Amino acid sequence: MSSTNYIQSYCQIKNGTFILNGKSIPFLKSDSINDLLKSIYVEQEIDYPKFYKMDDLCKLGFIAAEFVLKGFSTIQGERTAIILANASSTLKTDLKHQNSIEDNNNYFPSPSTFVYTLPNITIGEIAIRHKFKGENTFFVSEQYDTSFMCQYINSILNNNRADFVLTGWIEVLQEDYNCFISLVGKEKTGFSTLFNKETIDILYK
Amino acid sequence: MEDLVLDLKKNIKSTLNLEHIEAEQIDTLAPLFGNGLGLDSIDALELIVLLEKKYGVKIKSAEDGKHVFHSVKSMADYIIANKK
Repeated sequence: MSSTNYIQSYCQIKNGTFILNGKSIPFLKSDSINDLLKSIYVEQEIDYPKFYKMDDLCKLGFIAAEFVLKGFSTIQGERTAIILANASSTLKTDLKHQNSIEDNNNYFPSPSTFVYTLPNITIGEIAIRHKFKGENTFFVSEQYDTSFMCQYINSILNNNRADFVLTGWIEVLQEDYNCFISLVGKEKTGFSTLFNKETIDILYK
Repeated sequence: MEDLVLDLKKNIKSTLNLEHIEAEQIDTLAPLFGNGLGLDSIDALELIVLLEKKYGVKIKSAEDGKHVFHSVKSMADYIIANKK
């Protein structure tokens, strides 16, 4: 049983910066996270109309996954897990939903907003897009607990519950966003850096 | 009728976030679900809310919904027939 796993690829999208496998990627600046993510979607010529229906948390996860998974189209969906975490769950969308039901005289809750009031929908959108059917969990914690997350992801891989894990921290609160997503696997391929707490702490910063 | 159909198309586009298509490009007679715009069950719920919120008409039964939401034309017909 191997106890060493590797980051195959990673991406960080954080309030005006975009880093893919250690390299800074220029992209259009925008005060609105929604406009920013839509401009990246258009610029990348992605054809997936359902993207426009997603909330900002899902859009952010979707875009990050698109970049991280480039070049990994042959990985087996059945053997790929998704483990994500954040601090604010879906609070931005929760507030949007709350606003739609506050006035009894104008009570029109939106079903398409309500479905995004669970953070694991982000996992679902990525899983549907890439046909990933492995284990999945979305943790909510005050901070990115890299020690716990690394232990958990290594446990999945070392116990042969998956060959790859798409994992990371994906936080959206109002117009602030911070997403750090990596693809972790057993083989030393791609970005090929040891996956452990120390590495994640350095890359995530 | 033409004004209502165009208004419906604009509202469908904005309500369902159909940013990949212009309102005028929505076929008035084409099925909204299945091979048409490719809408899903959540979109169907949004259309029910849209009819009530913007046009003041309610869908009375699930069976009615199947016919009403067949196309933009059938939605417009239903609004005209049921608007108070």
